[in-house]
Amino acid sequence: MIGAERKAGRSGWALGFYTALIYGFFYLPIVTLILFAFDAKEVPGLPLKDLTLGWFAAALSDRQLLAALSTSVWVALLSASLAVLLAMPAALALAWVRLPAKPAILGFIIAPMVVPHLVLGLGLLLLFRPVPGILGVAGVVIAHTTLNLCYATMILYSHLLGFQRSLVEAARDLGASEIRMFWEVVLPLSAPAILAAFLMSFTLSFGEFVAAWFVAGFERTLPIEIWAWLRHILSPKINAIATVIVAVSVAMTILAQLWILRRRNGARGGAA
Amino acid sequence: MSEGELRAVTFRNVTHDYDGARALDDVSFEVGDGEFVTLLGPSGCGKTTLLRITSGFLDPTAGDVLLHGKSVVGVPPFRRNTSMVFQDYALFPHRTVAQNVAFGLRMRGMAPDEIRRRVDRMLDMLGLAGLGERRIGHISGGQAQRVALGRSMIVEPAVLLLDEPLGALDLKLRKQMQVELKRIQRQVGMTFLYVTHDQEEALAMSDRIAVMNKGRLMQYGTPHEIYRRPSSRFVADFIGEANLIPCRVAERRSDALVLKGPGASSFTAAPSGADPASGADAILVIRPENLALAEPPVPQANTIGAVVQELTFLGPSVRMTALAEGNIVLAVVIGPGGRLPAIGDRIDLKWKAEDAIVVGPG
Repeated sequence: MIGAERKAGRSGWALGFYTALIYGFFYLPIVTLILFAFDAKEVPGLPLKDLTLGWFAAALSDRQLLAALSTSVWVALLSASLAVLLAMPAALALAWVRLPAKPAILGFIIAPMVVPHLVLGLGLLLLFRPVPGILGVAGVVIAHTTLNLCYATMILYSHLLGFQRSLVEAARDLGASEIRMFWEVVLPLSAPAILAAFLMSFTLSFGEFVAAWFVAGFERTLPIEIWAWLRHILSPKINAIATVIVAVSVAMTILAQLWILRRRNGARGGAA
Repeated sequence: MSEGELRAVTFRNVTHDYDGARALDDVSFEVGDGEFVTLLGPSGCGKTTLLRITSGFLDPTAGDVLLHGKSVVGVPPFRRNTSMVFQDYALFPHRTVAQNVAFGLRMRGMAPDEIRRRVDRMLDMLGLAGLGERRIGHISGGQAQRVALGRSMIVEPAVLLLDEPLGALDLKLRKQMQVELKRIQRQVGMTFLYVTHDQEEALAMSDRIAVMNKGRLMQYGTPHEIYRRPSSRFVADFIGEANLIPCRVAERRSDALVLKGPGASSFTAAPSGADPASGADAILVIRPENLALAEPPVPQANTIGAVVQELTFLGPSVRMTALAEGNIVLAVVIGPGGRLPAIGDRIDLKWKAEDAIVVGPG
């Protein structure tokens, strides 16, 4: 008994160390970025002596930076919405309809995940060149919708595969038309998956640089703006804006998680 | 009212193929208005396929289904006056008990006041009063079962379809719900078409039973008929316990069928009108409760010698197994007060000619 406990203790310690290493690997860059947002020096670096909130004020009053941020938010909102709207019918068909050559169709949907963004960006640029006015926000939205679509479809597809089919049949049996059934049963019960697909798409689009760079024309998304800055100066202003973004993302994720948990407790939960 | 309207459901030569495999083979029978009819058979016998064809989730490959005399083949489920209670209940988890029960009425565009009145009445009848605002996750299995029943019954279907609705409940609750389901059905006078593989459940609840095997309708009749007069070896074996003694038809007389059994034994049975031809192989079916110990002097006809193998005390009765000539294992139920032999004893078992049933060997 004692031997077993000691063994468990030692392996527990090793597991703890390993976990700390993994988390450090994930989060150290983010922590560093946030830390230097408070560095009073013009060029961030160790040692960290004087702290300031000044960079936040500077970043949030920088018109050019805010314009790029707003462009990125709009592009992410639009491309995530479009991706979810397009992915839902595709996922429904893939999960519930008997289709010939389903593996091939799935393959074509997943393929953009493994195509380098460089290739996609270049391809889209060649495709867009003859079309006047498309390079810019429209171009980036299209590029990001393409990228988001495969992730959103896969998330919704796997959700619908596990969907209790008898609920669909019960609704139909009780007199609901296809459309009523979708609104009354499928949509509300798919809300967490739809939210997940949307958030994933939003995040992906928000941080995407390579494909956007090819098709943005003279428009600047936030990653493009930051990249342009980095070419001459490493200002803590960028750390500040990045910190704001991290804070907003974390808050959004926590809110989404809480919402899903509350729904689940409402639907199942123990006997009251 | 024409003759057709008296029948809730008519199946006419219904056949269904799944990817080339025959799931239903030329099934024809009728379900009377207000009847409780059970589709009974082992898994894969086609009973669920027939239920889904009735509900409209499947169309038959050939044949016709009529509801109150009107063909419904090709009519989608939401336009069909049937309602299904699913095996997993399929209650909407994002809705309350009352909202679940109200669903069908809401889809029919009924006024909210009328819906509320009817839902309250239904919840009352099912003993669910006061649970209307509960979420589906906050009720017990037995309650969920009744909510599913209420949700389907409230739309007043021409026939209520039930797909093994008691399968998920534990034995005690299942027995309770069997009585309750039957009571509710009798109270509202609704036609029930019930699917189960549990023959005891079928015998206990049904007005009539359709026994199915390998996509075919084997026999259709009252529980009494099915049990006492099985028309085939399959039905005899599937419904209740049966002793099957292989024999050969020696003579067909107008008053009796004479059979040659294993060894030199000879039996007589009452003729049924559909007996095998003279000289054909046949199976003599005798229920365990119809076998009894024969005291000397042992009569000549309708007895068989055997050696006692096992005795199991069941409380009110004792179950005995004995090995007869030809390696036939016989089960015997000895009622209270009956003489008990010892294991290894040579005994003679007798039965009355009218309790013996002759079926084909198939």
